[in-house]
Amino acid sequence: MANAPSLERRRLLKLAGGLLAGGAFAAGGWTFLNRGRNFFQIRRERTLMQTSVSVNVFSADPRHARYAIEAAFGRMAAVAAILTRFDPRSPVA
Amino acid sequence: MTDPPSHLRNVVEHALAVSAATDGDFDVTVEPVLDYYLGLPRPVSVDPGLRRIVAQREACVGYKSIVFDGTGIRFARGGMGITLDGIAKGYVVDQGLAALRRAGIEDALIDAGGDIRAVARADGKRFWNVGIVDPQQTNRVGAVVRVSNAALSTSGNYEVFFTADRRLFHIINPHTGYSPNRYSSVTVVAAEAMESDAMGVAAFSMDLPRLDRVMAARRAEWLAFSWDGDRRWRSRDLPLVAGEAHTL
Repeated sequence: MANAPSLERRRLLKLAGGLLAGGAFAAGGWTFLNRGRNFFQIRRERTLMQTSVSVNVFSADPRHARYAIEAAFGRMAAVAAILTRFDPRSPVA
Repeated sequence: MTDPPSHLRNVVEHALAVSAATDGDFDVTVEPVLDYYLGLPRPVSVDPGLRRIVAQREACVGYKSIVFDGTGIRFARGGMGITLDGIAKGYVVDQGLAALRRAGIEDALIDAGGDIRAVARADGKRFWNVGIVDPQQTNRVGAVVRVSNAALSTSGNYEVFFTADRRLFHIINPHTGYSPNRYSSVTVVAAEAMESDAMGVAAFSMDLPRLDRVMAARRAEWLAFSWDGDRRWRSRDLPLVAGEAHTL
């Protein structure tokens, strides 16, 4: 088995730059979306289940994107409240 | 528990399906052991006293003793408990993405500490490149996987560990009560984050041939870093666009 070194920073940036300008760094790694023109990236981050959760949306309509992100966080918070064992009010706890 | 909420039913039902598919390598009833470790001051010392308590708690582990039917969820034996830590985050991410889709969003990614669900419009031109942390140098990217509409979960021994040498970390082999030390990081790509999350946990306890076989049966792709980080393996169809890994 050959060694498989980490990606060199230069190569990673080249890879990312060839795809798009925007990107996000998260606990799971770096995420990039190949996108077209006239797209805005909206990113919001909150803590749920003792974890930092980020929602990234590319949309031509940033106001609608922000509305959708709020809906997503609302949905995730409601479900997390049921499944988390860190909240004594949860049925799991 | 009688009449559990539908979300809890969904997660427990899927957890039991993954437990059955992995012969218990994923098991939510590992909670008594995990809870013990989480309550210890760190760094933890694996001494005879700890081994005795782990053995006692390990006797309470076993997904087949969960009774899940039309009336509710209960345990067939005393001393049992469940932790949804290895599956709930994925489910929450799936729910968040469903909300985005309902709002008309076509290009989005949600990341909850390594549990990722991405979607991009199906025009063949848009996709997400997701960097996988190098478990030996966590400020570096070790590989890049390309997805357009999929979930991806990465777990590693660098996240939460109890002993200084990281040999005891947040993933516990339900069959032994201790952390498996084959891999330092495993990434699983699946259709839903609930599946990739749970299968990623189970993968740590499997040797490579079994890992490959079980993942194929679940239609999941995977990438694993050896414990020392020097070697990497992947499924044949993993959409790896940067980094190197061997196929079996």
